[in-house]
Amino acid sequence: MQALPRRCACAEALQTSWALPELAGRVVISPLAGGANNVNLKLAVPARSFVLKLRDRKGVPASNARIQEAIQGQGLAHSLGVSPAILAASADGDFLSEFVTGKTLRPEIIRSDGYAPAMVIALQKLHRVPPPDRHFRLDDDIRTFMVGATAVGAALPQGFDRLLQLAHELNGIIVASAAPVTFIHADLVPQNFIASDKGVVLVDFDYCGRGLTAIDIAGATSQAEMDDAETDAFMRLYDPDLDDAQRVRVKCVQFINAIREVAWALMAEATIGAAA
Amino acid sequence: MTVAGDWSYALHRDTNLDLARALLAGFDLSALRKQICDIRPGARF
Repeated sequence: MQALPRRCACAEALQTSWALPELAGRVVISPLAGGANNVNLKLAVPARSFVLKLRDRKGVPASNARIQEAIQGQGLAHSLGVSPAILAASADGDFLSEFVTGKTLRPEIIRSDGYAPAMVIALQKLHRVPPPDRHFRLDDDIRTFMVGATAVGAALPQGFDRLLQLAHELNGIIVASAAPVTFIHADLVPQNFIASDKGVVLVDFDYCGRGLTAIDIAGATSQAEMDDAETDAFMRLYDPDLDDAQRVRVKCVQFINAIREVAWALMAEATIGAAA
Repeated sequence: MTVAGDWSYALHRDTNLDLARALLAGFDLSALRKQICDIRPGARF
């Protein structure tokens, strides 16, 4: 990761180049939690705050086309009220968005404060975004992450080959089926849900695209550590006619997504460890 | 993907590895291969 002074210099350069009236005057820059391939800074002026997402060139690599599609995806999601607005973006994929004040929906907060219905409403809105041409498939991600993990010599967990093989097989079956496909976020870890005064909004659209709607249902429920009853209630809120095949399909996608998360962690830990 | 708070790569890897193994233990794979393709008209996911 870049040291804070270098990040601030980068932020100041972008501020100058974008020349946004919103950032006129004294801007206070502070670090925020970031991702494996980006650095997030909070830019505060007296009346408002913004998030500047800087691509970390030493982090996990991502194609520029994918980054640009992620920016477009967040813009589309904002038009439906489920994501912060993007104010400016660079050709390299750095971008400035609104800072959303609110609670990050950690599993315990979702449970204790009853946020599942608001999460479902946000997902239902998000899935109405016209899907882009770019397809998102879990098995594509798994392949990419495993190539990355192998390249940096990551140690694979015992028996992981069989899990990988099964994930690919099951993914192929679901993709070949007529399971519903919509615009999806595709990275619904709890920290990407924020409860704001305007409802639940989503951030980090790096993986968004046209994909199986079940990926978002499976990702949101499993990464928020919902048990079977909580997952069932979540799915029924989304689709009141919930049936057994949907339950099985979501469990299956939870399995494939869990393998994807393992593959990503194997790659990211080794990549960032090697770059540090 | 986003990293924050008390999160670590190792924790994320192990949590998801445990989840995958637990899900697999509950699967009847031959039945599951057929069930996942049973799409009710009007199903939303």
